[in-house]
Amino acid sequence: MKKIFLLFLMLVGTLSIHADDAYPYLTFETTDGAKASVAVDSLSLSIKGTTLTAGDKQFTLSNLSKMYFSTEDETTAGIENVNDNDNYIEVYDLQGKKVESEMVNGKWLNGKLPRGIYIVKMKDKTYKLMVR
Amino acid sequence: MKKQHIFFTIIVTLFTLHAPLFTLHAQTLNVRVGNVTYQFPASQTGEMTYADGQSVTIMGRTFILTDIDAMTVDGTKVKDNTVSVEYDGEMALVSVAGNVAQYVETTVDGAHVSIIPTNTDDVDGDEITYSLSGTTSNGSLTLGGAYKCTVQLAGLTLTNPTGAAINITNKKRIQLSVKKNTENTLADGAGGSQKSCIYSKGQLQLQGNGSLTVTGNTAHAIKSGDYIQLKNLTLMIPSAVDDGINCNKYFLMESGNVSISGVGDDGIQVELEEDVDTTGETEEHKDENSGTIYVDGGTLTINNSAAPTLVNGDVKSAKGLKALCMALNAGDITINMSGNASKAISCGDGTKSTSGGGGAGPWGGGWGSSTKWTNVKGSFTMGRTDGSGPKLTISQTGATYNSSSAKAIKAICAVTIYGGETDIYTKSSGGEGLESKTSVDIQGGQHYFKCYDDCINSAGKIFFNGGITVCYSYGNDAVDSNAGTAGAITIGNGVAFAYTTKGSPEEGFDCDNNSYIQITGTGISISAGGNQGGGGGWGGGGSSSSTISNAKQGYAFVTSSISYQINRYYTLADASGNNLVTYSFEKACSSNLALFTATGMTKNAKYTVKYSTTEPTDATTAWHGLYLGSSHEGNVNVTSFTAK
Repeated sequence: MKKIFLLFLMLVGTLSIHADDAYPYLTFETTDGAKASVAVDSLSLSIKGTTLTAGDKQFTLSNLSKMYFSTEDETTAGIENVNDNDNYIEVYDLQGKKVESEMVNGKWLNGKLPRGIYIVKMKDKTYKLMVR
Repeated sequence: MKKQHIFFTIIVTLFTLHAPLFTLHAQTLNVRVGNVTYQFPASQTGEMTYADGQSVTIMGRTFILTDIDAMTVDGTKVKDNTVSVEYDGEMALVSVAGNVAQYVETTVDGAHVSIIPTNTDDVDGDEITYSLSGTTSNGSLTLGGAYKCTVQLAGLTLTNPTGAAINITNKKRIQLSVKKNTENTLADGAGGSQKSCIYSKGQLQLQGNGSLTVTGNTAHAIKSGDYIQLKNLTLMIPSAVDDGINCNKYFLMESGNVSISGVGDDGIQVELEEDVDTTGETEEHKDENSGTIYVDGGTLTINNSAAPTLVNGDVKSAKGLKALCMALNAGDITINMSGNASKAISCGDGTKSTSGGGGAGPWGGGWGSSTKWTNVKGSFTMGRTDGSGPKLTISQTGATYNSSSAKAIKAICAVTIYGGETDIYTKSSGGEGLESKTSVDIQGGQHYFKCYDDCINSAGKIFFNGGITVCYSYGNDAVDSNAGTAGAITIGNGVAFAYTTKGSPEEGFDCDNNSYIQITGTGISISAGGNQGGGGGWGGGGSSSSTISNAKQGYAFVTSSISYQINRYYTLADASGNNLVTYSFEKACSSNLALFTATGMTKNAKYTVKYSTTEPTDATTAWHGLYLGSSHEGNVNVTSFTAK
């Protein structure tokens, strides 16, 4: 039993050591204070034109304020930037009801969408968005 | 069993809950710009700020976004303060640790890497390490900046066909560290303008427990504009157009294994800058500009066969070691020279003047001119005052070229030997074993000279104040002082066995007048050889009538002919048969003038020399034909005399 207890202590200690350096997210913050976190596991960031793509998220470079490694997902409610300031966006819920539409102009479209999954339709692209 | 089951369940649960912690390692953000990747540990980055969609600043380094080729996050381990260069054929990849990213500007062109550190102080309390590895036949490293740093060779094969392999223009102290158990080979291009294959403008400390091979195809193999210190390293220089190692201020070998061969000029040379005041040795060599080669340990081997050249009518010949001062304190030093006019060791400097003929030769009215040195600078010391010292082995097989002789040791300055072990061989006329234009003082150690020309020659005085010295010349004098004054050759408490097999007029001890010899101690001196005769020369040659003033112990000049033979062991004994010393010869020696003095000899006492063919086996010290502390007795009379 004594040995097992020692093994337990070692395990807990190991967990602690690994926890010190763990930053599972890279969080982006835009100029309006909104945040979006992406998991860093095998994360690749690319810059093309005025857009930075991190995993499945895209950011307009001019709207980015900072990024930092974080221990948790700090994504705030809202829609992340898109790569074309002049693109027209329509947001539908899963029932097909349009819940929002607005010219983006490089800013967050709407920070007040309730949690849920939405379909974002852009001028030349459609994708699914989860708001947490 | 039940408890164990519960506990096992807890462990599994904990493991499951913490599963991400087991799979996540320290994350690193890699920002690649061209062939340079900046590696930022997640734990260090803090906030990385974007500016106007144009740039991002990470840990003090600002990247233009359009310059960035890729950004990834992975589990790469990053060692702070490290810049790694991996050479791979025609390209090189550079990795820069995040904490020094803001201090390093790197340019990569193929496999030619140029790094300019911009820091002016330590980075996080430490200096930057540039770690080089990989292989390329067309690459280089150029390192600028103005602060101390370390260049680590971690398995590097690097050739630069157009310049130096490593060119460090940083004037500060550079540690060139060869990683343990790695082999590293560097070569530069032929016909270039670089000073060396490895060049450091500043202080260069070569170290590490790895192996480094350096070839200098244009000039030197290794050159520093400041001092060079070396320890631990296994360094091989198989060839260099000019010197193997060349530096200013001083060279210090603490330990390690250095092998230099195939050089076109000197093995190791310390050059002093012009118009810069020299210092002596300073405490821990701080701010030292002494022009000294120090060997404090390790194994140093130099094989030098470079041929001489004529430069404006002057002979430029190769040296094994060349510096203003020489301090051979410890270690194992072997120098094999075969180039004509070469010198295994050359040190000292001064003002040389040549006076006209008439009475300036060693005998018979002179050779028409003599050279004198004034304003002499430098020093030669071997060993330490406790009697310890290096093992110094020199073989000089070169010949004279344009009146410049091939010698083992040539010192313009004074030579002081405190200890160590010497084995010196020369082969040709003019090939003196140890020549000093100032003086020679042997205070300890064991020394053996086998030389065609003088074994020891000095324009000044020669002292045997300690140690054991055997001088065997087969073409000239064994010991020759041209001081021309009392004490020219002084027997103190040392042991000197000096003989020449050349025959007259070459002598065992030649100081132009036997009365110039002084006996100031209780040492042992046996000389054998020819006799200059009574006429001519500088005050006449030796004669039996010569006396030594104020001799501290008994002595005798024996001018009767003695035919010494090999394989005979000659014992000098007192009237009671007590062995004072036993000696033997490598080659038959016909002696017409012999000096005998030994511990315990007293004036007016009788002494005999007898030989036997039985080699002493009970000597406390046996050294190249000398047997001290033996009870050996001869059984065939050779000579006898009454001491003065």
